[in-house]
Amino acid sequence: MKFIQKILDDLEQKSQPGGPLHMVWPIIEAQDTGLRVPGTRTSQGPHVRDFINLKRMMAIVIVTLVPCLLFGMYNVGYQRSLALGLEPSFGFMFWEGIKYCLPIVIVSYVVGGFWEVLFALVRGHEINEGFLVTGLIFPLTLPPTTPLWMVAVGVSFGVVIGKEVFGGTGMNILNPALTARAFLFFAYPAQMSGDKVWVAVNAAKDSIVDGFSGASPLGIAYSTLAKDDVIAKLHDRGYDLFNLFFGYIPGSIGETSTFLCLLGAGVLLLTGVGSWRIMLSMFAGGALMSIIIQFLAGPDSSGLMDLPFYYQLCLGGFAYGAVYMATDPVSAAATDVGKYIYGFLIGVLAMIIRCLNPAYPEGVMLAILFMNIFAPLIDHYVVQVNVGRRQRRLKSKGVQHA
Amino acid sequence: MPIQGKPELFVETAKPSEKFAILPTDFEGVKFKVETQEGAIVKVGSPLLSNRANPDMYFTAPAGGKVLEIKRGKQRKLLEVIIEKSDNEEFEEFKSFSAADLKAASADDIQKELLRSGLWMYMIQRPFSRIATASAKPKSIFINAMDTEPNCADKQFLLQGKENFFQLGIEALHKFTEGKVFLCYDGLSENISDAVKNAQGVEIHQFSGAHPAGNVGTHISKLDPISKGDVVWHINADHLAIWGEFFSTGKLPVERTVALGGSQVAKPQYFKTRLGAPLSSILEGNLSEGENRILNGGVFTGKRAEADSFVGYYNATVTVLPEGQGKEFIGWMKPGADKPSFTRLFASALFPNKKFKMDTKINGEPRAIVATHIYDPLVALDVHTVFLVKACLAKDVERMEELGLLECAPEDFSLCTYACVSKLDVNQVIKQGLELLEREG
Repeated sequence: MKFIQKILDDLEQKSQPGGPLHMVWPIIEAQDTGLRVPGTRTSQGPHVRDFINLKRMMAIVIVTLVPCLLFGMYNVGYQRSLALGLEPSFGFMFWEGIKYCLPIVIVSYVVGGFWEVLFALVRGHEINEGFLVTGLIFPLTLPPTTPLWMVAVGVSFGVVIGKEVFGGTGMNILNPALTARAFLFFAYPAQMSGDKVWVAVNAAKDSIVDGFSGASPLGIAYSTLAKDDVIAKLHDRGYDLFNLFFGYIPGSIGETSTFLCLLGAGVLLLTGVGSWRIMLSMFAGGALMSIIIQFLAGPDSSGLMDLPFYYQLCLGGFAYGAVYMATDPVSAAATDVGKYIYGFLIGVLAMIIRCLNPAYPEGVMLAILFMNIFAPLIDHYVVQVNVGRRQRRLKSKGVQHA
Repeated sequence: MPIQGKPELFVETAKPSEKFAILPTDFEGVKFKVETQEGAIVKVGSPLLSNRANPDMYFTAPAGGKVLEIKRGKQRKLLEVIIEKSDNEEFEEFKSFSAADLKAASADDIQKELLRSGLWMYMIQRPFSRIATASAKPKSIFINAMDTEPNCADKQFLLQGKENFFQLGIEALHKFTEGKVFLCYDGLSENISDAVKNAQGVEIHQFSGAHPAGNVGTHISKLDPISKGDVVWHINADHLAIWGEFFSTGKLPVERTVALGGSQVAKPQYFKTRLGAPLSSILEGNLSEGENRILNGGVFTGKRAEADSFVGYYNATVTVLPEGQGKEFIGWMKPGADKPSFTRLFASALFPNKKFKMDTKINGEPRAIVATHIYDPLVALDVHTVFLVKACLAKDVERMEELGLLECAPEDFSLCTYACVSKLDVNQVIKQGLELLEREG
């Protein structure tokens, strides 16, 4: 242990201004603070400080994402075995899942990390821990069939355009992971949407069982008419509420299981890291809007409109968006009241986009990005209420004196 | 705040000492003129320094005897004026006031005596938290009879036996304002003093709960918020009782009770001592081994002091903390049963009643502001902290004022600094914002 400490001390010494390794100090700072909490002392009051730091905070988010990733791998294998008509065995499913998912996660981390470090070196700021979360949230939103080069392009776009051009962590307007996801969705729609991408099979190579379509539950609901019982249609394909809630459905890697997202939400709320205001109001907004839409649905509307709200909330990564994406504190509203409005409108918009605009089933992603843009505006008005209260007090004082 | 070292309600007489001092660094923003010289013989209450901005305001001798040393630091900054007490010390005579005298006297008469005796500085003015400008007409005056900073002196305890002095002090306050005089105390405290219970001529309000419920900034914000152009004064209840004693005796009262707390103190308790007493008189033989940080004040607002320095002018608390030692290997990954946190991210959250030993490390590394939801629940003022902090960092004077900086003092944000995930010194940001606003506003 002493030996390691000595090497670290030596590296730190050399990375000081004027030292031979000063060029790469952000890298040394990152690995040094990663291994050892610095001994920096307070200079003035308050003289004691909380033990929380950004590393601990980000680490807990990653910990809650791991079950989503593991289940996602398993589910990718499970869906594949269904498509191939194989007898599902745990080992097979998991191994197939790893084969498809792990490269995507690794590419996301390596390429994204490269940009993060490059910008830190050029700009001379610390490497921010936030990327460790972005680098995992992003691949979990991708279909398992995404080509690796596309993952690399996407994460590069997300980190550079979504974050670094705004000045880096803390200053970005949009959630970087979602920016990356949206970029891929619009740039390569064939690989990011439709019926062919959600199950990890290759039509040319694999022998697929007859009648397999690979359509996601959203796709099935969309192509059914409301007058034909849409729930029965979903059940026919094995997508009952249990499977939807626990995530045994085709979809992006890590977002299918509403159950695990809620479990993660539980941990984030219990530890005080996530914002319950955003999560709660987003679910409320989504539920309310889907009830309204169901009420409006006529016999010839899409079956998607006719789904009850508890189906809607289990579909299309709604829970994943609510727990991990909408709550990103940098791109969300920062005021408490603003958070309710922000979350609620995401929920409402997600359902409107999903059900009423047939071109974009990715309602949650677009709704969050849209509200990311509006978050500063919401905050502005919430803060102006406070400012206005102060000005009214000043005015009434003037009247008293006059 | 679960931190070890709460002083027991037990008073011991401090060791007698020869040297006493005033610390000019206690009075921020004051430019001093030296009114004495080394070797001069002074009485208790004789002027040592005066304020260049207000020549009537004196900083006076806490003991009678010889001026031993006028200690200066970098750029000749005044650090300490030390008096060697003589065996038969004499007291400077001031005009005394009975309750009836105070009613009859003018504000100017009372202020003149307070300014001359060196006691006026207990009255603080907001905005900007400076020594009150004697000529200003405050819209209200706040007496603070509580303190929620961890391990600080219990003001109710300090007021015991000072009922008459306290009431006499209140009488004087009515001379300074046409508005209300508020008295705020902790309604849930176990030992509310008779001085507070029987106080007359004040509007009494109870506050309770965790820090910053005991900050005067919280009281002002809830009861009589400051708008642009307003001036509000505030004084600590124990300081007001000293004023009362001064009115009653016509002498500078030098006796003080000081709480000694913090995890490095073997027996945290109270000491009966004197104004400007050496820290060693209460610390000697009472400290744990190791590198310690001695604070004139509490863990949030205390000022660092050397072991050979003196008890500060304002503080009724002295705290001793262990200095942080070195880096901690994989510290942030450990379960952390010994690491208290406002978030529940450490195993310490499983022991809600445990008190922890905390040192002076910042426990992390500075980062961009990411976790924006941490601040607001920790501030009791009607401000949006994140936006105020950003306005201060951007030096946007107009916006700072709009967002309510005039209602703030750095101490109101201590918990934000304490709990900040990105290790931003919010107190310092607010302080710099206030200084900028004071210069340009």
